[in-house]
Amino acid sequence: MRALDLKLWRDARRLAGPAVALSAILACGVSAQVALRGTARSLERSRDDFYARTRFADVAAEVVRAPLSVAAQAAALPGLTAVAPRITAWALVEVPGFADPVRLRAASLPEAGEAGLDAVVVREGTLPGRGEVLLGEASARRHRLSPGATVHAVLGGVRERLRVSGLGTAPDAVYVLAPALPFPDDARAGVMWLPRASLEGPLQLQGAFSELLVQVGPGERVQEVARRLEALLERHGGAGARARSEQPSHRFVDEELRQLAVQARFVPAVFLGVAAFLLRDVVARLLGTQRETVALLKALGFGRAVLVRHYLALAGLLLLPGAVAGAAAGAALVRALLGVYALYFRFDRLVPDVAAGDVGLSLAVAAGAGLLGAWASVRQATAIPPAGAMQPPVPPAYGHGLTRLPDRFKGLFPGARMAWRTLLRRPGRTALSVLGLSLAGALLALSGIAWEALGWVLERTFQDAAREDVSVTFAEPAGHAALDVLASWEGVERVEGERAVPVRLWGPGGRWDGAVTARPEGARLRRSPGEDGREQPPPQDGGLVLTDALARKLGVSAGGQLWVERRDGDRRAQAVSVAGLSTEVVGLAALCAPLTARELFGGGAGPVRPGAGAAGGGGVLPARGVGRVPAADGGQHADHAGGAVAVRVRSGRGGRLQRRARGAGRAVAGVGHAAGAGLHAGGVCAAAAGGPGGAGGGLARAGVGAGLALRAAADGAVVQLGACSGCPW
Amino acid sequence: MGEGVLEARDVTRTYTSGEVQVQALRGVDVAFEQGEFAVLLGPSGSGKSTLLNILGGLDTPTTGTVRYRDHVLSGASEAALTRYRREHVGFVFQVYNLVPSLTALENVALVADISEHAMPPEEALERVGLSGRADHCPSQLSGGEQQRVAPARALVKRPDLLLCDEPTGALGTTVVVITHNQAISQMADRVLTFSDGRVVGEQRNAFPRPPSDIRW
Repeated sequence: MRALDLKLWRDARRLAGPAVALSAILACGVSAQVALRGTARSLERSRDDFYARTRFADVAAEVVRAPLSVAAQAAALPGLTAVAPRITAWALVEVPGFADPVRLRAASLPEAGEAGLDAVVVREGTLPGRGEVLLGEASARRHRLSPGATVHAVLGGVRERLRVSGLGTAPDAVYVLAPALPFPDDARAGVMWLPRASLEGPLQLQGAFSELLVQVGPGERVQEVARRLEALLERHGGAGARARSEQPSHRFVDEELRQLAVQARFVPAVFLGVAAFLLRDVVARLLGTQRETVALLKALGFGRAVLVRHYLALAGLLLLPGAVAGAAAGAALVRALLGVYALYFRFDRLVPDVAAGDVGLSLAVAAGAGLLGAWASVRQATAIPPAGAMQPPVPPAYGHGLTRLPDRFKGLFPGARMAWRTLLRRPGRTALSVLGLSLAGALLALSGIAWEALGWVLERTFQDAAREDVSVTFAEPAGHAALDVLASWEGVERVEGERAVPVRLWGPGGRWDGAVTARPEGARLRRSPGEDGREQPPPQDGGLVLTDALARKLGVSAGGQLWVERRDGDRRAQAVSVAGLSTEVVGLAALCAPLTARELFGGGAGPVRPGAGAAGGGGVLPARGVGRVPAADGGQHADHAGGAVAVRVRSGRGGRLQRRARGAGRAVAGVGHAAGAGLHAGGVCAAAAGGPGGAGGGLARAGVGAGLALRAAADGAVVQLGACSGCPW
Repeated sequence: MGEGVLEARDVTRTYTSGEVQVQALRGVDVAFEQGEFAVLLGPSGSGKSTLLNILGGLDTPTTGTVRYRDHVLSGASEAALTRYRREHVGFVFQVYNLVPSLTALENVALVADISEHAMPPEEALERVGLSGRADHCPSQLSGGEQQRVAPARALVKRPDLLLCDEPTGALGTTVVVITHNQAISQMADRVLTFSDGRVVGEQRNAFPRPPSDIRW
């Protein structure tokens, strides 16, 4: 081996200590890049593969009831390649050992020979037979339900005992957002699949379907197909056709993956930037100590190219362990992170996908910076004639420009003067150092910011915007008597009612299928902060208040105009103005005053207005009839279809409320019937929105069998009851 | 002054050290003949090291011409100077300048590796009496031993021109030694006296003395 090569290996061995530090820096930069980008890509690819394997529908349209022959008509529409009718309905499920009711979206499985879309992948056990159910994996695992377990489900008012045949997942149920639940909550919401025959009877859908899944041919316009479907299904109680991009599970997955992709771009870039900066500097300084040796070798007759190669090879040897460790750690991290994400992304499988490009790019940036440092250092040593380079370096020049700046501050002691001059002598390097430190600080901040942000969102949501302890959503409109019952409970301090009407909003920038919520004047339990931070109540003289996110989606601002079209009942489109914007942190929402709702949508559950309660305004308990909703019009159910009333209860003494809640289902159901609001057994289910101050705990559930479940909490806890149908989701 | 294999004509060298300009050579005319043993004698700071560096292609003159045989060194490219040093010049530096991570033998081999007509590195070490210490790194050698590796390294390539700080025996090579040690000058064919960046005197020794005859 040539002496110069021997020198290379021996120098590399001698510099093992610094090499460990360099490797650690490089490994951090490379592994962050490989891991985060690889994880994001793995998830995206796993999702796409999962969607393709399970034939995720391009469009899904819900109807009240349509005969199967309509599905055949749909299949004949242009642009469709597959059509799959099925029955879907929200069911209330009692899970042994879990106090709260669990809402599962029941979906029928395709019969043998039928082309299934949104196909179910059985992860454990088998497909269900009669009297059996295949549970969504997420909620089943959350409740430790395995094949062979038994659950009770209320479906269409009928309580059935079902044996769990297995656990599964499907592309439309990676995340399940239940009505009135702001976030996916595996404990309280999920999905289940049953044989068609098990659903037909309880839901009275023999020979009919309630959801049509459609696959669109390549090159076809999805929105156009959706429009045709809507036209076909309108007379069967169609609630609108929803493109995959609007499918809640997909949207949630998509949003999560998009966030991940942003993180995967930004976080590793910061890591890599810091690593590159440090590597360049450290390697340059390390090889700077070889200045005289470089000059000697040059004096002895070694050419510049040979020396540059030699020192680049040395830098390469120092960086190699870090590069290997970084790539290996990155690949291992992808697997580890996917293990964590498997708990959240219920795809049938998560396949790690580490791209050579990511490894290459990160190595090119980080190791490239190190090599650049080496090159700069060797170049500096070889640029001057060997005679000069073999001498000690010329003292750096001080005494000009910025370095004299500290002289103006007479009080500076010599040490400070020295430090300032050193910093100011090379302002570019100092600026880069500051940038490097800033990026390093940003990394620290980034690691903590997610929790802070979540805390902020929770605070804004549950302390400022949704301040109730219990909220009850009825399947169908309830009259004021329902409020009265709730208000009469011991411990209830305040009750406010809302009405939600499922609508489609059209704006210059797009459309949105959601609900307009009529909020009573003086509401205090639910508030929407305006852009200036103050409350932005819906104006009494008409117009909608949109969350700013919704306004952006619709391409409209305050003062602009929208078209609103009710998604049930009378579907005529009407113009409505945007009266203001609110800045809610979660979700898209449109609010209006009760009178506005009445003008736009007619009677329904009627405008929500404060009752003649003791406190006036929003009404404060214990007086009865506050936040009162007038009795719906004498039991004319048809008029109320799709309307919803939410009631919120603020618990004063949770323990007692809990006991009272045990009778709640029967009581409120009775009131509902008495008031003619069409509250029927089995039509109401509950969802819980966990909130602050759950001290005392004690959750109560009552009247599941009777059709209402109520989760009431001890002092300060938040409980929300949601509707099974007619909900704005 | 007659023509030699190595000659400098009207050479000046000005250094800019920080904010100070130092004129190290102020117009040097000197020529060396084939096989000549010359000593540059002069006090510290007189410019002799600067001239040696320029003659060895380690530095370039500010003005003037330097020529070795048919190579014009003044104004030559870096690559040409590197080639000149590699092919023709052996150096013995004032400080030993050994590569610390290589043994004595490897330090010598370092030069032999890139020379076309090098002698075996072992032979060069033997000539300076260091065969027994060939496998020792500089840190394991005494100061005197380190000092002897330097000429072995310079001689291994059989240089045409040896530039050094220390006296050595006649090698059939043009040798230019710079020193402020008067005793060494007794070994030289010719002694050039340096002062203030100029050659101020020249003396020929009709009978150069071997090192063993010199009182140090």
